[in-house]
This record gives sequence, C-alpha cells and structure tokens, in this order.
Amino acid sequence: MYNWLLQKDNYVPKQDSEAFLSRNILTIVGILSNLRRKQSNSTSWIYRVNIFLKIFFTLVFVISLSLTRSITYAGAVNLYMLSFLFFVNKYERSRIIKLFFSAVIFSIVIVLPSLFFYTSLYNAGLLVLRISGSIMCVNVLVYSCFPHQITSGLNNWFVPGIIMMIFDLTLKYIVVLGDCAVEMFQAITLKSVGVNKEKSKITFSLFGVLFLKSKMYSDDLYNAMVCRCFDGEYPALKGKRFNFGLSDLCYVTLSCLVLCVTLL
Amino acid sequence: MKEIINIKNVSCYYDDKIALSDISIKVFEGDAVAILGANGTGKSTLLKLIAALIMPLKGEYSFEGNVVNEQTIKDKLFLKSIHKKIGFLFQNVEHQLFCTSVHDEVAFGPRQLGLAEQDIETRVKDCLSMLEIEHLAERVPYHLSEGEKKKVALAAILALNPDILVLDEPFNGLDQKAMVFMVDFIKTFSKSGKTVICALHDIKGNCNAFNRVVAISTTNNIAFDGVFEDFNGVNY
Repeated sequence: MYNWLLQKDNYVPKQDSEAFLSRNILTIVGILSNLRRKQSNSTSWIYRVNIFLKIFFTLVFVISLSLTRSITYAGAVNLYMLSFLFFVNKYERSRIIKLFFSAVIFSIVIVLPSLFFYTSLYNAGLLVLRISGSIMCVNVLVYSCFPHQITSGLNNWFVPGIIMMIFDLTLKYIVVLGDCAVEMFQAITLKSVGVNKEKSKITFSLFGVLFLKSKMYSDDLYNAMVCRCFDGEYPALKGKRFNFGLSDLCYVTLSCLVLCVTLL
Repeated sequence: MKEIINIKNVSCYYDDKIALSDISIKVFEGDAVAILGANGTGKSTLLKLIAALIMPLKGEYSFEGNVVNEQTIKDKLFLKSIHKKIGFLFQNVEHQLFCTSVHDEVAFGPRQLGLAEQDIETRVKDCLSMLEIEHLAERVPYHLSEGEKKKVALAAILALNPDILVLDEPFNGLDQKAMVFMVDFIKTFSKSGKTVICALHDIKGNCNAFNRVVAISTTNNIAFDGVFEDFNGVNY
C-alpha cells in the first residue's frame, strides 16, 4: 500500500454551492414519494370510491369543460372539485391546492395580454376556469388513489393490454431510475468535499448514465419477456369485479347533480 | 484508542417500517468491524447513518465527538469534513459511478481536494495499480463487469484518502484473487490506524480481516458485539 494512503490528510474543506445537488435530490425524492405514497390511514369515503367511476366522471368533466360555453358550469365544476379537498389527506390537499393555484396563475398570465386587445372578460374567465377545472379534476383523481389503481381501473374500460403494460412499466421505471438518480446524487455529495468546478458536466454525465441504464433495463426486460413467450401481443387483463357501495353512490349522485343542475 | 463513532440508542424508520431499533455502537480508531445480519436487518441503513446520508429518528449519532443531526449538517463544511473522512462503498456500486472514464472517476475526489495536477495523477495511478485496473483507465465505467466496477468505485474512494472506510457488501461479485486482495487490504488499512466498517451477510472466509463483529438480529437490534472468537454465529 502506498505511503500517502497510510497517512492522514490535513485537509480543511472549502465552501462551495451545492444547491444543485440538494435541489435535484429533493425533486426526485418528491416525485418518488408521490408515486409511493400510502393512503393506509385514509378513512375518507373519497378513497373508497370505485376507480372505474372516478375515471369515468373525470373524463366526463374534462370533456364537458372543454366543450362548455357556460361560465356557471365551469365555475360549478371548479367548486365541486374544490369541495373534495375537505375529504382528502393533508399531504394530498396541499399538493392539489399548490397545483390548482399554479394553474390559475399561469393561465391568468397567459390570458392577460389578450384582454387588452380583443378578448372579453367573460371569455378570459371561462378559459381560466376551464384550465383550472380540468387540472383539478385530474388531480383529484390522481391524489385520491394509488397509481396502480388507475391501471386496474383502466382494465374495466377495455383499454388494450399493451397500453396498460406500457403504463405499468413507465411507472415502474420512474421509480427504479429515480432510485438510481438519488443514489448517484448521494455518491456525488459524498465526493463533493471541496470545490466542484464542473457541476454542469457532472449533472449531464449523470443523466447520460441514467439514459444508458434505462436502455439496458428495456433491453433486459424485452429479453426476459421473449423468454416468457412474448410475441408482441399482450392479452388484456381481467378487470376487478365491480362492487357498488355507499361511497360510490354518494360520488355518482353528487357528480350527476353537478352535471344536471348546471347544464340544465 | 480514540473514539470515532458513537451511536446511542438510534432508531431509523422508512415510512412506517422499522430499519434500526435502539442500536448502540462505539467504533474506535483502527477498528476493523464486520457488521453481520440477514437481508433487511438494517446493515445498509446503519452504514448510511454513519456516512451522514440519513439521520436518526430517535437517539444520537456522534462523529469524532460532534453530534450529527438535521441541525448540525446544515453546516456544509462540517458535513464535507465527515464526507472527506469517510469513504463509502455502496452495495450497488453501479450507482456510484457517474464520470465518463475510469480515470476521471478516480480523479474526481482528488480534484475536489484542490490537489496539484501532478499529485492527482500520482493518486490515480497508485489507486489503479493497487487494484490492478490500470488497463481500464480510459474505459467507460458503465461498460465494465460487476467486479471491475467494484474495483473502480473502491479506487475512486481510496483516491480521497479517507480515514474510515465504510463498505457495503464489498466481497460480492469479486473473484478469488480480488477477494484475497480485499482481505489483505482491510487488514493493512486498519493496522495503519485507519478504520474499516464493513456490512456482510456472511463472514466465512473473510473472518481474519476483522477484529470485531457486530451482529444485527432480524428484529433490527444488536444481537452480538464483540471479538470474532466469541462469536458463534447463532445470535443473528
């Protein structure tokens, strides 16, 4: 063993900005925890509503919002979706509110210049409510169920098996590659004991490695599937049996009321 | 002997799953500690705690007499001084390699230290030759075999000249020759007054590398802590 390795270094660490490391780690951990989040403590009825119904009404509301010319209807859907905030957990509530306000502010900023030229306030308001309403609908769906429940819910909708498989695999590899990315950023943190002059180079090479890894994973997966007789066809999975409960009845009644009262 | 690591009644959790339960360990300068345990007993969590990558939920962790917790690691210089002194070899070394060539990978640490280019080259050359991987210097780390990746990751850690080596399953994926080298290396490293902490699931064949065994039980707490001769292997 070499002498320098047996002696102790007299090194005093130097200050350097490591915001890029902590920011990246936090972003990835945020996405992963979102995908892995548990609702085991959720007792609210909204979590018990059948995923089939949730997907159906989400689609109905999103399509009707995009077609409507009535600001009352768009506002009513927004209010209806906001009312679900009372029934979701604290974490999900804060996420939905953040996304809702981001969508509102973003759409106002986009629409604002057109107000000074030719768009009426009614149309501008309608557009903002359509965007925020659609985002709320999707977020209420996403945050009131697990990602895998959406897949199983799509089974009942006779979505082709291959699309379901792609959806499932995408979710899986977001988690797998996200874990890799977190460990790689941790490895960089461990070695960043001084001043790193090549932060962007390191970040880009890390994403390069992740790309190579994703390619390798997809090749391995394809080979594994071929070994299990995969020939490009993926049979549709059998959907779960539909059990209509009290929470489903509440959800359907409320959704139909909002649809009927405001459309009539 | 100088106390380096003092873990007092530490518990760690992943969501609601317990990873470490009321663990207390002291590690001294020159120790070569084997942390034994079955899968899922919290060995890797313990090593991550030592490397200040995760913080305990309960209890206290001190490194060289300084408490390491959420508050103290906000001082980035303190955290950097821990990371300079601890070289951590991950269980999955593939995640540890992020540069485009083996040479750059090994040189990353010394460059961080602000060493002269000549000293960096010496360290890189020495580390590569010590692990007999000089021929891989210009290769892309990602395209190497598992054993080679492990050697590159170890070379990259050694180039930082750490005082403490924290190795997570270092013998996995190594051939017989590399295994013998690793055992000799751990012995020489600890004899020079430096410290080695190594997570293993099986100590057979590597027992003479370590002077102390800490076994973690399936209930995630310490089942045995003592010299290897007293360890009967039943307790974990």
